[in-house]
Amino acid sequence: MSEKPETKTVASEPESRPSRRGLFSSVGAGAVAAAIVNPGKIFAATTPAIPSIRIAKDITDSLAEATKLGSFDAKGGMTGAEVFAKSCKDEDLAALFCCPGNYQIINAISAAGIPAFGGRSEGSMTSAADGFSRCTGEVTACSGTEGPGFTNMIMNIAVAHRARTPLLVLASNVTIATDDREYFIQTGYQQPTTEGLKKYGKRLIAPDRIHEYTAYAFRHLKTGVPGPVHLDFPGEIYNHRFMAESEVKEYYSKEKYRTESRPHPAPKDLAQAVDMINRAERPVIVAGHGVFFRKAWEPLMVAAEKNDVAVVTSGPMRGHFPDEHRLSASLSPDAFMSADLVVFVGQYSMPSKTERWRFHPDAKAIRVNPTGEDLGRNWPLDLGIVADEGAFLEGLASDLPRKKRDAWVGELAAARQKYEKQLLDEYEQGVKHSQATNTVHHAVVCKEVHDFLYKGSIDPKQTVTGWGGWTIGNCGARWLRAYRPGQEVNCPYQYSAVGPDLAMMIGAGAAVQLGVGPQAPYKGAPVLVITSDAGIAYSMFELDTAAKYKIPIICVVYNNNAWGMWPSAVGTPRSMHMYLFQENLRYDKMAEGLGARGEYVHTQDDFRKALKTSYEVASKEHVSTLINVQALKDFTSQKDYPPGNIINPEPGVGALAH
Amino acid sequence: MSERLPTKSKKGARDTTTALVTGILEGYAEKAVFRGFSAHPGGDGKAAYRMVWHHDRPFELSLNVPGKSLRFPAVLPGVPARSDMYRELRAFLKSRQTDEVPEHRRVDPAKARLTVSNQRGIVSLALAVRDGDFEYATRKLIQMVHEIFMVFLLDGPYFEYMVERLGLDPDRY
Repeated sequence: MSEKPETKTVASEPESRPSRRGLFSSVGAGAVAAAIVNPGKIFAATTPAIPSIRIAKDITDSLAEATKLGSFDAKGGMTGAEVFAKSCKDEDLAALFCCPGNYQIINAISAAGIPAFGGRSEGSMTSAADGFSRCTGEVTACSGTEGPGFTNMIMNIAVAHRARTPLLVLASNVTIATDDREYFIQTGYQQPTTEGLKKYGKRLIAPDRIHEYTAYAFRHLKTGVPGPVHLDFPGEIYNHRFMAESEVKEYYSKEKYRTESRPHPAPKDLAQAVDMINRAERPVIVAGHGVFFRKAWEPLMVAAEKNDVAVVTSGPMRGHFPDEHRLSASLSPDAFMSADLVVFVGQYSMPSKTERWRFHPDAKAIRVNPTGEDLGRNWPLDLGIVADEGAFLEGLASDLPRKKRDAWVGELAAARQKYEKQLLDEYEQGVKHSQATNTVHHAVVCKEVHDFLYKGSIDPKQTVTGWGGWTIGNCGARWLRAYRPGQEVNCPYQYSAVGPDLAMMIGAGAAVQLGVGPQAPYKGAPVLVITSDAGIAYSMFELDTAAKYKIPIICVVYNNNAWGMWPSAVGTPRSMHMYLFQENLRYDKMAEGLGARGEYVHTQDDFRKALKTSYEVASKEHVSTLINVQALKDFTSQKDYPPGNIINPEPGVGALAH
Repeated sequence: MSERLPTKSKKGARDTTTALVTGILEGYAEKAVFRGFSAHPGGDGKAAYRMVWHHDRPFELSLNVPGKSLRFPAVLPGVPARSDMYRELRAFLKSRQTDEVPEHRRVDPAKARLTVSNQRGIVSLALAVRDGDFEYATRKLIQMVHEIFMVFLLDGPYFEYMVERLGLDPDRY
């Protein structure tokens, strides 16, 4: 049964809050003495009502402050941090997510007017920045303090690296003067720590080269295949004062230090690609990360429609080709094996042929990548093309002849119908399991979310969604849809980390609140994430961050009392305890303690009602809700509760590995 | 001499067919369908091929030109003959010979006959070549095995089977 909807947050007006000192003074000296003897009794008798959670006036005042860019003309000139922040502003850095630490840098970035968000752990803030980027394609930054803050970010940097997110990782790093002296706890060699997890990195050591290395950073972030860039700042850099522009070396504008020029396909390569596509009977374009990052969805659509080429989306975000389109193969996995030509465009993370990517052994392959060094890796090619994804697709849109492929389009439709029937069959099984156990099966959870977001009164294109977890994640991916660019964030993409989901979607929610890039038409809408009880533990405290910034998110937690991999212990019963949690934990109550709403449900009807209420509150009051959906771990078992956990075919909906 | 000509011609044809099948399989290796490959000619139109393929497991394909057959003696381990899984596998393969799938995905019964058998839980797959078109048969047999792993196992309730029997690391999926 769902609990009574209640929005107990979030007033920003001043409220009298008893301090500990005040409390004791009102009780009086005698009572204090008694409290020492019997504290519980005395407090029960004299403690005033517990103050409600609220957003402090200091926060709203701070957010209302005017922006202030540094200037060499100011008294005291500019600090290194201000020079860096101004460069970030000039480069349209979209947002910063951080925890305190690296103070001068984050303060200067926020002061410069770049949207900045402070959260509860550096790792989660890194994923929030990642999520913001995944649904906008923009460069975002994260920051933490040297030592513990920085090392807390590592897993999340790795997640961003595997997704090729253009993420600017910032961290302070003591001072050059104290290098190698074990100066308190925060010393550390950061750059080796991110080895293998970044596209470029640099510890800055010369103050007057700060702009030069900012240029390095943005060249890497905005050119070629994206990826994290890691800059670490010793105190000598961000504290350095520059009294004149001439003191900063190579201080010139972005138009001089990088280029917007993109590689166009060689004419003979483009002609060969056009010929191969035109000759193929059942061609499919795999539209990967690069199509989204290069905002190339329009030429993709034109090219596909002109020649009846199927399109399947892939990557850490989906929607750059709409799922409902007649040429979309994203819901037609049974047709993949029929394709006789696969055209990978901007597919940065290449699968191997015997992973889940189910293409025919005889299918020919073309791959288009903005740089040449990766062409031919993992998947041998019949044609490799070095080209910007947008430029290639514009070439296709221009040069492909008009052609109809009715049989191929019909096969895509039949495969989609088969896939949707399969989903409904799984749902019917889930309904029976739910009713038999008085809990909610994962297929029921996901079908309800699907129907609510896409079949009801909400514009199906409106809500940005994300998913994570194991049993629930695999299922959620099958039911969530993407009808426009940036609508679905594939949280566990490639690295398959458990836990960043909520934080990532809070970042995506921030992008929707700001209306950045493809989110502009849906500015202010809520976002939704489906995650697991294992995953929520990693970033649940960021519900405080969502509440603080009024980022409305509906967080559906599939609570099955276990890590998804519990079946791994079935053969060794003595190990099972390591895979299990306490049963019936109340994540909804924890959410309430963090300033969000909580809903507890264990029936399908109550879940449906909770979704509706949560969405209304999110839309109207910008308040987040965690819906704790009670399930059973045994639903994962294919033997005991068929269909159990189903592995998704790739690419398309549910694609996880590449 | 003239009496022996047909025999020599037959041998030549067998060699040509063996070379054809070997070339096709080498082509799959060059396209990374297989991750490792070697051919082991046996003479008299017979050959064995070894490849590293799905789940990085070794597979063996035997060619018998005079017997007009191609056979994978061990495609899947640990599938009891009376299990639901084996029954469903047979149905899946049968569907690949009917209009349940588009023509380009089908094994044409006029050209080749697909048979599946089970010996002590080990599933084997063979194609009997009916019209002498070994290229067709080779490509179709490779396709069928590929579909068993990429479609049948992934679409069905076989995750636990893959973990238990094929050594799948659950964290990798």
